[in-house]
Amino acid sequence: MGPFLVLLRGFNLLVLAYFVVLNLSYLITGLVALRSLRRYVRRLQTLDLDDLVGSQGMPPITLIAPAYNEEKTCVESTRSLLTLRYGEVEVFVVNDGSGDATLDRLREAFDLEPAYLLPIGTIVTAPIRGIYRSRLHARLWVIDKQNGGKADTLNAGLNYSRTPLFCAIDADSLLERDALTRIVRPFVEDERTIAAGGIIRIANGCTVQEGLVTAVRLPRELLPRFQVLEYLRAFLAGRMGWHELESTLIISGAFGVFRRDLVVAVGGYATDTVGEDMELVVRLHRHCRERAIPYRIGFVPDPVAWTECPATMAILARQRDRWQRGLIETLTRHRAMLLNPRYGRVGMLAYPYFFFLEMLSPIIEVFGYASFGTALLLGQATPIYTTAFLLLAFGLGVGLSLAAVALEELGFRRYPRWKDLLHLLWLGVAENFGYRQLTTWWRLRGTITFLRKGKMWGRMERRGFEVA
Amino acid sequence: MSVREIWDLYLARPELVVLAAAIIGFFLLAAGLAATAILLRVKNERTRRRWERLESRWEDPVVEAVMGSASLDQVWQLVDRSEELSFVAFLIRFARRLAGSERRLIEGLAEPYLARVAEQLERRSPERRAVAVQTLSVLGRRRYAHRLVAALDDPSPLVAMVAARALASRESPDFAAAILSRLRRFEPWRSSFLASMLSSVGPALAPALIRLLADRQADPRARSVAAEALRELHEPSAADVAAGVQVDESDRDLLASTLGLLADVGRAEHAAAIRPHLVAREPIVRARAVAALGSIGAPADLPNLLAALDDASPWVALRAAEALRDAGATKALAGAGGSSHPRAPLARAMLTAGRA
Repeated sequence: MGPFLVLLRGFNLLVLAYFVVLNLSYLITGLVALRSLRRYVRRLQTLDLDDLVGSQGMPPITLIAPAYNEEKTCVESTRSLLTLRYGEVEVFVVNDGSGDATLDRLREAFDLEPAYLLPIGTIVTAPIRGIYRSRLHARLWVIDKQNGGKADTLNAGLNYSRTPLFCAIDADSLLERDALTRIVRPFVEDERTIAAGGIIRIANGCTVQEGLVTAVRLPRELLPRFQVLEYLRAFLAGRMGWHELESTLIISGAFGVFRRDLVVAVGGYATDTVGEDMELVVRLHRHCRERAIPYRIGFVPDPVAWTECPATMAILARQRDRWQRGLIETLTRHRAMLLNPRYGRVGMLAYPYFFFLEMLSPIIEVFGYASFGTALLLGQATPIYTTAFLLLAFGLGVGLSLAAVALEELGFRRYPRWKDLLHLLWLGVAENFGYRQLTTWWRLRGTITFLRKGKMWGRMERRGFEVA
Repeated sequence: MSVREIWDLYLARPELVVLAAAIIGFFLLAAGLAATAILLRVKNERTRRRWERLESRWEDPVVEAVMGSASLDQVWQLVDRSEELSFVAFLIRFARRLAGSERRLIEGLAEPYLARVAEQLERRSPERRAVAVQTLSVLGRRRYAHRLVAALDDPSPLVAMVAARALASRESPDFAAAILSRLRRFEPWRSSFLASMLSSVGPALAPALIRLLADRQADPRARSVAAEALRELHEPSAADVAAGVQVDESDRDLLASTLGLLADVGRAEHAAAIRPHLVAREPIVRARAVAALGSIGAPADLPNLLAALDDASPWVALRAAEALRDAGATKALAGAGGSSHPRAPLARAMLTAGRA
């Protein structure tokens, strides 16, 4: 056997081993999530939201919504923020030098007037052009700044925030009315909590009325539908499981609450990465572990932020490319944590998982397809083995997606129509024929872009919510 | 394929059989999960329909009973043995919206079924015990008070906290002592939340809180919580103890919370105890001292407040500007605002908008 064939066989074995470990880890986090979610749902019965909302003890919070070219959705989203049921809350919409009419829309809709706000933080950001306060809603502030990117925009908001907690959201996100009360609970119940993330759900296809999602439906188009399932899998099976293992490494930039003082202490969001949300969480872990600060970072599955997901291949491709770059940038930047017992479960469990399994998966998967094909052509793998392996991968893929649907039914049942449930189950099968391979390909492209040192964010074109 | 044939194949190519078994296993798992999702939906739909049926059966009679046009017996006759816990859950929703005699009537309606709720306190699941504690606290607080107090010592922190929140109410100030003595149990909880919980008991708890604040042997965090609760109660008799803390203690959080209390209920004679903290190392202590002096200080403190506008911490500067505004020192603010002072915009905003 020549060296090429030895290499080929070795690589195929590596792919097989990788496949087993990856899916085992999915299975484990899924099972852990199941246990955790059951307990959490029972625990929710003791939650008296009215009581919590009325309590003076709930920590004041600042909502920071960065807006860049959001003229289509910014008014609706801001309105949604103003209807939140929560005690003390200030809303900061930070306009990141939008090239469209975002600021004008906000000015017209909320009757803004120039105001002064003393900056408390000292994080360096792009220059502030103006600060406005709404005459209609005293809690609403709009900070207008020169363009500096999302992280820079969040930092600008952070500099002016005065509350113990701040909530970072995307300007196009619609928070449910009780979302803030629910996500702040971990901070109330355990003073060591420094960050918590909520669940992101897809708003495409849903009906929006006065900033609130009033009717939940699956999107009409196939691409967003696949993403609904993907998000369910990522949040209910993935993040819930990692939360239970006390190893939350990602809090979505679309909806997360943080302790302001600690984020300021670590220097705010990193502006030199496209994955600033994950990078911040990893940096917080690192900061606390290195200084022996007791802390908790977690995921809360019931507070919901609805967001519009990409509806075209081109935009979705750019988003996945960016996510992959963000992942690689974060994991390589903090590689000192990898398999380092100093960082506890995060260093020994979550970090290796994200590093070896999530980060490298597109490379191994794409090259795996290629090497299996080559082996097949060269007669080094029998068709029966190849078919068996593909069937196994398919069965596992379907199983994991359906587990996410089952978890949704167990916990929250947000899609009330039978039609939607059956559709979700079907999507669990259908996504294995093309969609998964496409996302893997886009992530591989993200890896290549990273290697070429690309820092492009990629433009997200908003269609606007379906307003009733 | 017969078992014999499968066995022969296994002997010949074991890995293939293992793979086939794994494939079948995963497909069965996937099918099982799909079935689970569907069954869960069926179950949830059934539960929802059952609830709708029960609600439509109970709603009008309960409303009539509350209005006095139906007797309790008439309502009880509509509750089957298997529906008792559901009926109690139904009543809870009413109880939370009602007060006075109407609330008492709902409690009366629930009374025959509460023993079954109390049985839930023995369940292994902490979540179920917590729900039982909550139910008993809403519908049977007096009768089951001993069980609620005992729940403060439940091994589950969740149950203990639900019990504490249930007991901390103006209707039952006599239970507050039990909570106070167990404050350490709630150590992980946010202190402002604990303070709010304690203050919801009302002024009846103030003497016990003052005693705790004055107790130098007590945990500083518990004392700090007591100070915050006293602040929420606006309890003037706590001011002397709070002033004493300024002299005797060095714990940052305790100092900050008692300075906050002094800002709210302190008197001019307490200013002397506050002034040394204008140069404290911790910004939060300096900021609270500035705020307290703005509230109860003398005209002689204005230069100190003006100087605090220069403090390295923006928090202190902000509190100083607010303190100058509250003290009516518009001239001083105008002076700072009109100068090249680095915090001139802050002073100007305080003068024009009243906040910054």
